Amino acid sequence: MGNEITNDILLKAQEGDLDSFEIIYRTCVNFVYNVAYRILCNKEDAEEVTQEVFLNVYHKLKGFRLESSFKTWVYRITVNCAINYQKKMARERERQKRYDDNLGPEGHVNDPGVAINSENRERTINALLRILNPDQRTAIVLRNIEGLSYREIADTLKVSINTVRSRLKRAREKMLVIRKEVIKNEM
Amino acid sequence: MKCKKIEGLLITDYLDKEIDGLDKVLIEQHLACCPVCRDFAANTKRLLSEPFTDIERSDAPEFIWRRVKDAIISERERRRNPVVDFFERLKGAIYIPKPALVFISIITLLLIVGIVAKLQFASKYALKNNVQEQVEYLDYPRENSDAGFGTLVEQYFL
Repeated sequence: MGNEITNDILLKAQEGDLDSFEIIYRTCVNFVYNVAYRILCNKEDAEEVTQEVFLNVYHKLKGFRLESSFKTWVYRITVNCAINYQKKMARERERQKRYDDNLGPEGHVNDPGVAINSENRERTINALLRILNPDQRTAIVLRNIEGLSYREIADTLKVSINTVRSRLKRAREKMLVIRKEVIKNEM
Repeated sequence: MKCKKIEGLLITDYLDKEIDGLDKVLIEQHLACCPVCRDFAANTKRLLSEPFTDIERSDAPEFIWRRVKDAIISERERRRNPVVDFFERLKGAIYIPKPALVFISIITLLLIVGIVAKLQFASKYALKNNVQEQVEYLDYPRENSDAGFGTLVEQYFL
């Protein structure tokens, strides 16, 4: 990603040039969309968040310091938008649940075992990600899917490397328990 | 290294290839002679790492750019209206990145100013009162210099 976005493009975009902003958009949109999708496990939500991320990037671009890593900056905005969106949606769903007695819990979505049994890789990944809390899920997405180093994850999330390590460890311990249980049930 | 510590490293740094040097050598030496940890390492890789390998990446739908572009253009048009532009600029000028922090800071500052002002007022008032009392006290015997204090000592000596 970041390699194709030159400082010249960033400067022009900072001055409000829409064509330069479109270059930034085209370069970053797929990773923003995929990170949002993996954190939210829902394509419609990921579309909403992607839109929000780029409007945020557009508004905050003037304050971006060129010596910083643009990639890390966009990752940070994406992760923050996705987590905030998830919290907002969780609150709305909770409110709706209180008013709608007929609406049951989303068992088929939240039960990782069911999805893993379906032997669908995509479902397996989503099911594994769903059992994690937002911090752990974000760490796993950035490491396992985006391939960021511990240092890059720490910079993106503004936490220490040890925090990244600890989130990954807890996330993987949880996922390992589920995977083992499913395999045991299958045997 | 003990198995417990090895497991912690196998599930993080070793799996993510974030480890090198002596630690890596020590882990590999341990794996060579410990079948339990060797199984754990193989399981970790198979169950946790492989599902995410070469994961399918989706392309973002094109309509997102249209929405973003429309939002930017409509915002620019709004800004062309001088009244709206004035308020937008005003909003930008007094933009507060962390309003809660600023609010708490202002309240704390007001409290400190209030407490200091109150203390100063109280000390001035106390000083004024004290001086007045002393003056009154010192004045008292002069006005009634013959009367004395009416104590037993006075009666004895005078």
